Amino acid sequence: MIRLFQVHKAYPGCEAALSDVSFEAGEGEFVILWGPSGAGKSTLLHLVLGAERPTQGQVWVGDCNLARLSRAEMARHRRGIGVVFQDFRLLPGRSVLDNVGLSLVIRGASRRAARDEALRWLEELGLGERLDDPVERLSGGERQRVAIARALAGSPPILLCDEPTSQLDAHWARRAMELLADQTGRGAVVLLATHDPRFLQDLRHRLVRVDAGRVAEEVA
Amino acid sequence: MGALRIALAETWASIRRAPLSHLIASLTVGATLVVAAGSGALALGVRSLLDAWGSRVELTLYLSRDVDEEQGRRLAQEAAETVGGTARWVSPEEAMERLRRALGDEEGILLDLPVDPLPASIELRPGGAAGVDELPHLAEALMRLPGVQEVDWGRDWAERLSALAALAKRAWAALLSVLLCGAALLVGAVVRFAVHARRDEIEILRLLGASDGFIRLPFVLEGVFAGALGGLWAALAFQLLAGWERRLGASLALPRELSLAGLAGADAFAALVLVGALFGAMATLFALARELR
Repeated sequence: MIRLFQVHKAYPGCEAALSDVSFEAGEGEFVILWGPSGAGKSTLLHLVLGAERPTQGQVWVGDCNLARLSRAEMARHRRGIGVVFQDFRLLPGRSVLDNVGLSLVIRGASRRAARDEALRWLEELGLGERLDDPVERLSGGERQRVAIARALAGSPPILLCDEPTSQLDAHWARRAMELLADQTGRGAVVLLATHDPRFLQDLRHRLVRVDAGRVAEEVA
Repeated sequence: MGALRIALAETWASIRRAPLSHLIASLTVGATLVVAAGSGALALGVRSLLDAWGSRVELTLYLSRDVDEEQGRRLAQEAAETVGGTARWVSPEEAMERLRRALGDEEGILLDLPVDPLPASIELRPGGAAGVDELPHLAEALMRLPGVQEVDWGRDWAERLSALAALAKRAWAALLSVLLCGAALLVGAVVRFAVHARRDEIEILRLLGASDGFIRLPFVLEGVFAGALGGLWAALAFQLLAGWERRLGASLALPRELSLAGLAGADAFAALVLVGALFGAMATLFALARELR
């Protein structure tokens, strides 16, 4: 489903963020991209999202080479992806419910369907009492849960999660991981980037070590 | 939470963020519409006045002395057919009689003149469709008729009025262009300001897969709002002007063609708001094409 061929990504005046990375992830796979900060994990997720373009190489999602997509096609591609950004990227000035519901409206859901679906995921993540609060009033952990709810809402076929549990306590981190893992059961592919060594103990998922811009090793 | 509802909410939030700039933009659109519609109506009024004058004017065809009465009457008929109007043959004697009456007490000065000093002539009134611009062509055509020596049709006045009308038209077009550009730039600036205020949000929406249409809709609605409000200002201005014209009607003694009453009706009201909204939408789309590449 997701394929990267000899991808190289460099920013002007910086060392390469990714060098000669080839990587594949298929339907129903849960892949943990593990590595230290600055290893290139976030860049890899951004390339799959189409938020950045590789300097060299190709990124394919399904039958689409992302470099060939028009603006409208790229928007359509992104509508099939749920993303948890490292800095959450919630919409400022909007309520918890709006933040999740809006992503569903963007995907074409009706107002009522978007509200129901958003409500379901926010309650799953313990935010049922905070629906109308502006996101600015939430703690870091609560914001991260809103971001996870937004990614899960609408059950997209691809989930990209960048340090999705960095601000969660043990209970909510476990719950978030369960909800993400459940998505693989319906065929979704999950790419989760983290620097947290605790994820290395989770032997249910495929572990890929990313270091200094290279996919250094796969841990079976 | 539908797309339109979200766009409307965002538009309203943006207007509340910068009410003054929206007000100024709408006033500028309103002023542009007042000048455009007002001067356009005035130009049309002047045009129809000129045309009315053209259809009322009487042309006089002076005939050579070898044209006798029978030939003259035939010529009058031919001239009337040429211009699609009415013609009357005036004998030298009748012309002399008219001159004598016009001179009144001073008719004595005619005693020193040779016998029959005035030529026979044809008085010609063109049909109603003849506008002021057509008079020179009519005169040329009439000059080609056998026996016609001169055609008098008030060339100086007509040329002066035509030149004045053309100058007014050019000045109106120039002023309108400047005003339209200014209003479009101002609406564009308001939209650009709104885009900058929401830059982070737009970036997030793009990453979530929002289409260009979804992102642009609130801004276009802002432009439509500013334009429609401008149309409303213009319509109100014409109501005031028409009321003022009604009150001072008698003392102004304006011809019907120059009245602004036509711009104060319900149809004009709706048209101004609609044109304003369209203008706002187009100015916004133009600004967004550059701002949201």
